[in-house]
Amino acid sequence: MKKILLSVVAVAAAVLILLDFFFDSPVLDQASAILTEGAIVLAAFAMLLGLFNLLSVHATRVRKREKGWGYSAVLAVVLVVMVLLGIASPSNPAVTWAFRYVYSPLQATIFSLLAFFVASAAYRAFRIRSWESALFALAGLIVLIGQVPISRYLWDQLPVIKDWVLAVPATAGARGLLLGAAIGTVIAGLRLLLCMDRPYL
Amino acid sequence: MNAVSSLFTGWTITDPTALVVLLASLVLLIALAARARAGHGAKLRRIPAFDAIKQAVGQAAELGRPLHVALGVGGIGKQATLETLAGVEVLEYLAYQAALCDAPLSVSVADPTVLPTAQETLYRGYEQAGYPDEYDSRRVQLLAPDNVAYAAGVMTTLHQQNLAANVMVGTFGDEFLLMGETGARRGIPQIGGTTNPQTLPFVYASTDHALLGEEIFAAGAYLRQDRNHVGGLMAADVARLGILGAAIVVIILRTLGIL
Repeated sequence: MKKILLSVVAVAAAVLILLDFFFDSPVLDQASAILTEGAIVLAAFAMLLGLFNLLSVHATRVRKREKGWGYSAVLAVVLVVMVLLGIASPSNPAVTWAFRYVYSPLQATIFSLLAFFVASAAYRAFRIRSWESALFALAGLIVLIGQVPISRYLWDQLPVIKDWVLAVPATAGARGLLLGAAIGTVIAGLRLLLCMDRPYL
Repeated sequence: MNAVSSLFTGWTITDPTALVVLLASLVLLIALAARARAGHGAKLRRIPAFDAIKQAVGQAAELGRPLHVALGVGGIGKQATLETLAGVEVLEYLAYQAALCDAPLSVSVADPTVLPTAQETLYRGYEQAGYPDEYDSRRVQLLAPDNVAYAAGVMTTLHQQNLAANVMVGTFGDEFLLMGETGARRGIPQIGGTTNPQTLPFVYASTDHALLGEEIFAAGAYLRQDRNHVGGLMAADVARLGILGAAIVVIILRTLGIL
């Protein structure tokens, strides 16, 4: 009974939102707005659940003195302090300062690693293991060399070939992938609507 | 009666083409799923990434090392809901198999809305295998609702835990490479999958087996042999052929100057 009720609620909500997407109607607009607000409230509760999960995981690591427990202790303390400061006043200068001078630089530092990781990933990917890898390597090399201004002095057709690779095979491949993913998404969504998949149970 | 009819007054269709496409897909799915359920499903082509996912549990059990599943940065109720649920589908299979083989499994999520779903899926796996007491909710960890911070958390997991395999299926951006490369440098067998065309080169370059584009939605058909999912794949194939046919017709009509 519980499963049937949950399925009915889920499908009814999905159908209402879909109808609101396809039809312009004041009744649907209102119903959709109520459902969207409900989803926002649920997401807020999920955030609370996430907070408790984080604290629970890291408190256990500290209690059991697992490897790296010191980092977990720092995380838990910072989490609690930031939450308390944020609750006291969302525009608290301390919160803004922490985001601007601690969080943003740390984020930039980690993301800057991407440049080095791209180099090592390219090295691994360009090793020719199969004909797909050979194509991958060839396309990568043409675009890489074609992007450099000196390429036109090596061979004046190289930038032209590079532009063709980007405009024709690469775009065609990307569009094919997007089209396939869009169809896959529609079918996966319809499976949920028809209760063939019920991840909410 | 008047109250009911007043509910439907003033309704105007905003996008009739999309509605027709959706209804046609619905009919196609219902028909082909019924056909698959009746035992007339299509023969599935081999996708090595799904074979690797099946082997990963056995390797984890043999080596006594944990498995890790990263469900990406998408959330439920947002734009990337279905990609995230595709990752949850893979998790469902791995959770059940891991519980059967007594292989430890940890899950990393970025969005709080995915946390209860992942925990419930993991629990269901242990419950179906007959070991509900073995379930530990802390195996599913919320890292951070931010792409870079999430990647940093997964990188730490890949460094600290001596993993048997790492499966990353869901929504990912450029941060995929940070995680994929860390795993590759540590020699961890990796399976990755996403629909984002800009991330796919990173998936291909850094993982051993990649699920490209819509392949991530095929997990139910390949891993659980679910006949509805097989029907869904058949419907997607028919829809793809239909779009291809329509594109060819439009090209011909445009070339002839008719359209």
